[in-house]
Amino acid sequence: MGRRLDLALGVLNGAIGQHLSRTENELGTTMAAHRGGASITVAELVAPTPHLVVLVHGIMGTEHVWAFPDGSDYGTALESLGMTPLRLRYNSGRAVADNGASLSKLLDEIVATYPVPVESITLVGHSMGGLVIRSALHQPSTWRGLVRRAIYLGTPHRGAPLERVGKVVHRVLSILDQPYTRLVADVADLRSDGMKDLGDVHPHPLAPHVKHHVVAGTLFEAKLLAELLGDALVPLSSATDGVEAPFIVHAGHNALAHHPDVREQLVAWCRQ
Amino acid sequence: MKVRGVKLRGLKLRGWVQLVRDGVDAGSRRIEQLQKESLAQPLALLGEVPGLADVSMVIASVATLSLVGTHTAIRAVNQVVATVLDAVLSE
Repeated sequence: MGRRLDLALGVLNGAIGQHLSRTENELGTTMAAHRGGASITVAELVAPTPHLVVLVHGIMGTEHVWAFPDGSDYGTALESLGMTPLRLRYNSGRAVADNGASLSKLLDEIVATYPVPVESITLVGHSMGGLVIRSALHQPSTWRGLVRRAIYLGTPHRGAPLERVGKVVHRVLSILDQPYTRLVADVADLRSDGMKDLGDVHPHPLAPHVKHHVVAGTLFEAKLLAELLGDALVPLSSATDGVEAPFIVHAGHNALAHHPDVREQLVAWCRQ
Repeated sequence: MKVRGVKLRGLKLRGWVQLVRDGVDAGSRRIEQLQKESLAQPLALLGEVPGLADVSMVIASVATLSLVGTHTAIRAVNQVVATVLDAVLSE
């Protein structure tokens, strides 16, 4: 029941999260580190090391998205390098900028209360999680200087076409001056602020003091299809966004959060 | 709290109740607006027919009153049910 409820709440937050947040509904998720389906504080971490890795899921997700069938995830793989993983859960329906501000505040608190001095932070974001990371890196904070690298998995840096189609449909329906089409347009426009943000090019440049790594997925062998459709949700050009040496993997969008080849690459990058 | 042996703690039932209440409320308001707009056009046309302007105004008033009354009742019942459920779940 717990995991299924978590997944349902993740989807609900992604779909109408800004409404849940605005009405202070208890179904709205407050950003926090999670373990075993429950939120934890840094005091509850087992053997914390000075090297943090923070995993940020994508829209409509929870920290469960990282799990391999055997229960391990990228965090457990990076523990072997002496890193301490923190798997965040948050309300992915809020605007990316709002979640970026929340992430920045949360990391400020974590660094301030962490049992040992933090020496490095690695940020890993899947899909929207990568945009939240980029946004957080532009907030004034105490932790920013500790960030060594940011890793983006299937992140739509230059927007996702599906959301752009949604915007066009809404605009067309709104233009028609008919009560019923306007109703359909209003229903279509109920999608969350976070979802709407996915249609736009991310407003902030990549933070200069951080090493940025990109993983992009593609389901297609043909170059043109791979460029246009990428992992079925994010085209290659949007996922790579000019970052040097992207790691391209033959996988769909969601699979990027729990893929053996990506795990290997993550470990290799973090070893550097 | 348990219902037929099922633990309800952790299911965030109050949040679901609040969400359904918000949905019914917003839906009722939007449909009320839609019905008012749909009604306005034929009644305006009727009002242009010589001799039917007064009749049209009466029909419009009755229709609007019944429309607003119905939707206000829906929202009031919705609010009452949500408040009662919230109180029950707070036990």
